[in-house]
Amino acid sequence: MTATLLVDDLVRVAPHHRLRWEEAQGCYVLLYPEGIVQLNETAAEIMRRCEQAKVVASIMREVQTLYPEEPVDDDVRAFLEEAISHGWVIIERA
Amino acid sequence: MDGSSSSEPERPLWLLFELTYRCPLQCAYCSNPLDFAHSGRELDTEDWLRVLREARGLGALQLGLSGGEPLLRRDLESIVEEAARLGYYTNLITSGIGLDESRLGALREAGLDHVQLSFQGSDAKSNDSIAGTKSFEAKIAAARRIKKLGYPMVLNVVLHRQNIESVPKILSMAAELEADYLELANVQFGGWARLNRDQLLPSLAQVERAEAEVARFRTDYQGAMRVFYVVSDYHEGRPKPCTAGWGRTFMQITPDGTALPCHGAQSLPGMSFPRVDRASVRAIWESPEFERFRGESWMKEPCRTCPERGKDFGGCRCQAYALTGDPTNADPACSLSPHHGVVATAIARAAGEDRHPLTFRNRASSRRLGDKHVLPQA
Repeated sequence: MTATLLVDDLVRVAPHHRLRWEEAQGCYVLLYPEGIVQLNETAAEIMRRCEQAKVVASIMREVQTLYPEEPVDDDVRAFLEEAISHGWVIIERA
Repeated sequence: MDGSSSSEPERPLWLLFELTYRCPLQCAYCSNPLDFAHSGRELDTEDWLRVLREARGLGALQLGLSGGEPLLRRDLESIVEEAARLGYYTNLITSGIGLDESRLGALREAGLDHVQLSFQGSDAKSNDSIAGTKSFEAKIAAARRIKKLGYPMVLNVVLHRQNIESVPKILSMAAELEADYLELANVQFGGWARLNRDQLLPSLAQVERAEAEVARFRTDYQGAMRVFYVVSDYHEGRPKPCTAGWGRTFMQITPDGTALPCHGAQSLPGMSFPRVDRASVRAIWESPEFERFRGESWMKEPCRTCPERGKDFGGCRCQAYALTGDPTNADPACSLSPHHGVVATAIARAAGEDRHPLTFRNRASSRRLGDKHVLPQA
């Protein structure tokens, strides 16, 4: 069941999912009951920005500043939709 | 997880502490060894804390606290607290017996992340007849407390012939208890499940019906609960990637401090596993025992050149040994194994089972069995 994400949706890292910088692996990891996910740089930047609830459009804007040369909106949306389908991120509908 | 296997030891990302073999239940499918009553003295708190620190230094991240029943250890909160301080994600794997409000509160204070609660059935009769102990009502109460405190709750239900027809009822019970995840795990035939295999092994038709029920639930259900279904390897024809590969990402420690790459490993012949009270976690991870089935060099055909070998690692070494007498054989659950017929034989044998009583997992039975395992033929 894939969510179609709207830019003014409020998203956040799902309850009881922990985001952590893991020195031994040199990356951020997401920890939850049955899994460990290694996050690449962009994924980590997105997840870090929704540890507290944040509007998708704000995340897109903030990530864009990290990659000024290329448009990121589609990638941010695609990653968030994937994260939602895995249960790592939830949409908080008003 | 990439498919390539290498002989370079990876990290023990997943750590399982079996804190004790003591348990208020007597589940007939328990994966604890048959001879647990002959196990040595339980580790001290300090040993467990030291292992936590050493393993974290190797990159361990997920900690399962199990047993027997981990709540029977009074130092459980101290272990949780140190694990949380070190950065582990902590999982309590419990029967729920003894998980009253004060215990749950103390564990939450200590920093416990998550609780996995077992159920043996969807009503008292079914649950208690497999657990061997009156426990259903206490589990329901524990489930309500867990949710009331806002913990994510995973319900774990081991499926076998005695309860597999109740999958629809198990699904509704889990949803009603507001479980966040439900794990329906077809029984694996190690430990006490092996002893009771004739009574526990379902038929192919039963397994197929259960899978259809899960599929139907997934279509109709609109709620938040996620259902994990773990297939029965005897029926699937494909072997389980045991512990995601021997010595790759997982380390288990038994109550007396023996370190194992998987829960059945002590059944393998000619292996003497290292102990955490005698060796560092690093030395253990790099030990010859942990190296024994890493990579592919130990594989025989058909595994050695099989395109699936990076995915399933040839299946389970302990199952290969138990059913074929040689741990380097392909797991006979695999349809490509020349020994695959033993699985069909076991299924046929179970179908003809004449209502022999279950042997419940308890100290008295374990002492009686001693180290002379009374096993059905392979």
